[in-house]
Amino acid sequence: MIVAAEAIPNDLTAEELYSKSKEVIDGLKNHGVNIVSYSCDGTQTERTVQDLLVMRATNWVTHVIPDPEGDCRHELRIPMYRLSPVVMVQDSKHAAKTLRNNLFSGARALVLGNHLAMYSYVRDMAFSALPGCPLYHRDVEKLDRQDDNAATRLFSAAALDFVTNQFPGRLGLIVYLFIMGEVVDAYQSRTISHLERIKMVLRCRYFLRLWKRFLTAAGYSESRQYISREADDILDTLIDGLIGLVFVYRDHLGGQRYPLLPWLHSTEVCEHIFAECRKLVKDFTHLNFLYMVPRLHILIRAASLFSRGTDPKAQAMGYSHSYLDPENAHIESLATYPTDGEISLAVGEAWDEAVTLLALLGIQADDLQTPPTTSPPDASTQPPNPDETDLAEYPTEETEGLALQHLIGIQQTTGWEAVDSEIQNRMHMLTCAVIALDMEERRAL
Amino acid sequence: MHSVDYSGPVALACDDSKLHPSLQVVWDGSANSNILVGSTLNKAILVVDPEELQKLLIELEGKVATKVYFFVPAVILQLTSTPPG
Repeated sequence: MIVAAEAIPNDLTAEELYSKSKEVIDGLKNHGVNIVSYSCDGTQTERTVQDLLVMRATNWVTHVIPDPEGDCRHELRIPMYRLSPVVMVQDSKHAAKTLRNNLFSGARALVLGNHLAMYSYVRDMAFSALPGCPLYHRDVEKLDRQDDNAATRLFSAAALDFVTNQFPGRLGLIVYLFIMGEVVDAYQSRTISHLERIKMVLRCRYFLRLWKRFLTAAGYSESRQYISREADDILDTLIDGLIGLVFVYRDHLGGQRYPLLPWLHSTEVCEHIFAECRKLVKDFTHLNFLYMVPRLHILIRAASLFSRGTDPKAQAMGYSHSYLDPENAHIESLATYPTDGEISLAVGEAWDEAVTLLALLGIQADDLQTPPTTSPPDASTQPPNPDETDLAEYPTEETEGLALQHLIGIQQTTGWEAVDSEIQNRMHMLTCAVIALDMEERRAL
Repeated sequence: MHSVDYSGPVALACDDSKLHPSLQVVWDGSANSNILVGSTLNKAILVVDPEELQKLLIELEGKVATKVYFFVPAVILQLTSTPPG
C-alpha cells in the first residue's frame, strides 16, 4: 500500500525531504497508524533526513547501553512523534552491497592487523577449481555493484566456510566477511533470538571501534585502510536501529506483545513496487505511474498472499526481495525480548568476541587502550621490516637464540640482499654456533 | 488497517525511483478540465486552452520531475495467520 508518492526533482534537498517525511509520519500517526520505524537506503540525503528527524523531534525516549570499557555509556536516543517512538533504520541489504563494494574498491585496502581484506581474495574464491564456493564468476567479473544476490552470496555461511577451509591464511577476509555478514544476518535471519541479534551487532560495533583505534595507533589512514565514512554511518544506524527496535517492541507498545520481524524494517517493499512498475512499463512517466497505482496494489497483495520472492540464484539482476518469505520464522520466539540484565551480559560477550577476533588478526586490544604510541600488532606475527630493524635497539636481556630467530625471519622475508655485511657475518656466526651446540647435544646423547 | 482491526506496529519504508521526465495533459473528470501532470509542483495544474498550455510548458521548464519518491508502510501482517500475542 503506497501512502504517498511525490514527483521530485534530482536535486531535492534533505530539508525538503525532511518536511515531506515528517508530514507523512505525522499524518499516519494522526490516523492511528502506529509507525515504529522509518527505513531508507544509504544515500547522503536520506541519512541527513534521518538525522534531522532525530534532532528536531520535540521529545525522545532514551535507553542506556552499558559500555564494556568502563565509565562511558552508549545513550540510544529514539525520537518521539505523536507520543510514540520512531526508530531510524537503514536497509540491511543495501548495507550488504555497500560493504561488498567497500571490499572491492580499488581506492582502499582494508588493513586488519597483520592481514588484508581485498578484491583479489574474493576473485580467487570465485575462480577456485575447488568445490563448494557459492560465488559465480559474474559476481567478481563485469560485476553488478547493485546486485543483492551477489552480496548475499558473498556474506553467506557457505562463502565463509569455503574461504575458511580453502584459504585459512586469509584471516582479514574471513573476519571481515564474518563481522559484516553477522550484521546483515541480525536483520535477515528468521530464526535467531533477539538477544543473539543484539550480540551480533554489538560485536560489530566493538570490532569497528578497536579496528579504528588500531589504524590510528599504527599510523594508517582511515580513508584508505578502513571502510568508507558512509558505510561506517550506515553500520552505526543499523546497530542502533536493531537495538532500538527491540526496546520499542519490548517497552513502548502499550503493554501489547508483538513479534519483531526485523527483516520487514527495510526498504524492500519499495524496491518490490519499483520492480512491478518496471514490469508494467519499463521507462514510466509520472502519469503512467498514477495509472499504475491500483494495479500495483493488486500485484503487491498477490505477492504478499503467496509469499513470493525472487530467484535467489539470479546473477547481476540488481534488486532481489525476500521480505515476503517467512521461511521458518517462529513467532513465539520473535515475540520474546531480552531483559536489560541479559543485554548487559551480551555487551560483555560481544566485547570479548571482538577482542578475540582482533587477537586472531595480530591486534592486542589491551595495547590499543594506551596512548597511540604503542605498536598494536603482535610482533611475533608481524613480518619484520628490514628498514626499521636495528640490532642495537634489541633489549639487552634478549637471548641470542631469539636474535637468531629474528634474523632468520628477515632472511626468509627479504632475502640476503636487504641486510648489510655486518649483519650477514653475525648471522653466519650465530648459525654456526647453533649448529655446534646442536651437534654437542646430540653427541652427549 | 482499520478494516482488519490492526493497531500494531508498522514499519514505514521510503525510497525513490527514476521517472521518464515528461509533462502530460490528462482529462480530470472531477475538475471537469484538462490537467498537467509530471511537474515537481505536485499539484493539479489546470489547462484551460492550448495557449495556456504553451505558457505553462515554458514556465515549467526545469521543473519536470525526474524521480518519484514513495512512502510505503509495511504492515506486520504477513506472518500473522497466527495472531499477535
